[in-house]
Amino acid sequence: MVDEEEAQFIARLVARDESAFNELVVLYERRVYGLVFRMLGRREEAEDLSQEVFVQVFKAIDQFRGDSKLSTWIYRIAVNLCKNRSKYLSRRYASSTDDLDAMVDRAPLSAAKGVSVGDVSRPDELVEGMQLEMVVKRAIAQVDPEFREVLILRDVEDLSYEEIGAVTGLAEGTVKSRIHRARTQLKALVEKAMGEKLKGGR
Amino acid sequence: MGDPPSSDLPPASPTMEEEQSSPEDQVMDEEPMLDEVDVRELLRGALQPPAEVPRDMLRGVQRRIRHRSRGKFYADGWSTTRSPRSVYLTTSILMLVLIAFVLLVLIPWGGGALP
Repeated sequence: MVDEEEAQFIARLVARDESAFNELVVLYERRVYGLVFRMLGRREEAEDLSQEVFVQVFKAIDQFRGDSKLSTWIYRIAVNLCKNRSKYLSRRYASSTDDLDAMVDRAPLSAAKGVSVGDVSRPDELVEGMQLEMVVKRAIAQVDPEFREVLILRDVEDLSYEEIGAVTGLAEGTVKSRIHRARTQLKALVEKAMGEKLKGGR
Repeated sequence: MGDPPSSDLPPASPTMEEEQSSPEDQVMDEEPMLDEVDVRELLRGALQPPAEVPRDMLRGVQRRIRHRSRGKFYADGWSTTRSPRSVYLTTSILMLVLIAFVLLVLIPWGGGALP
């Protein structure tokens, strides 16, 4: 699973070589931050938790047995921490709709950044695209966390079923089943939201 | 927002037995598959993380490790730099330049006074 170069790198990490660990953070910070942000949807939380992922990697690197790729193992730590943080946040913010709305409302600004009406041939298409983006964001936040996790790992992070199994500890069949259920849920939620939008627009 | 998920959705969290006993094919038959490519594109468009990773990610990680190890790791300035190799190189070159300066400028005058 682990090639020779990675094995040498891991040996340096196990020896608590600080420069090797710096390299690791620089190498994986974008991927870890991206994954955590997608799972939590909050920038500050994602920043805090990404740092925590690397601290856990530093602490537990000598427990890495090399059964999977290092990246898969790091993803596993990230996903587990995200699950715990999500539970904590859902307890803390029993009604998280305000945060979710804030997250969704940021989308049009980022999507429209640097884009003027003159840049697109069909401004109405741009608006529709931004609305769809908002709808999908709201919908994915409503998908059951267990399903959302595998869907993000598969469709956004591009992990194979086997890798997702290694990250989540689920059997491959369960992974496929959950991905299917996640897509079904997402589809239903998006269609419902779009239907409401169309009704509201009339 | 704020509406609870509608009740016509598939069960939110199936039990373990349900997952183990229901083969994937049965689940797949429940409803026609949503186009995988469409879902992927929708998700990728909607779940774009901020373009830039926070700048102080590495420093934050180092600070936490230093704090939790009670100063055992990342205790000095060398280990906390992003690229220590370049720092070593720069310092070495500066030291060589300084030594060369001392040799060229100070030694000829100083050397004349020696017996």
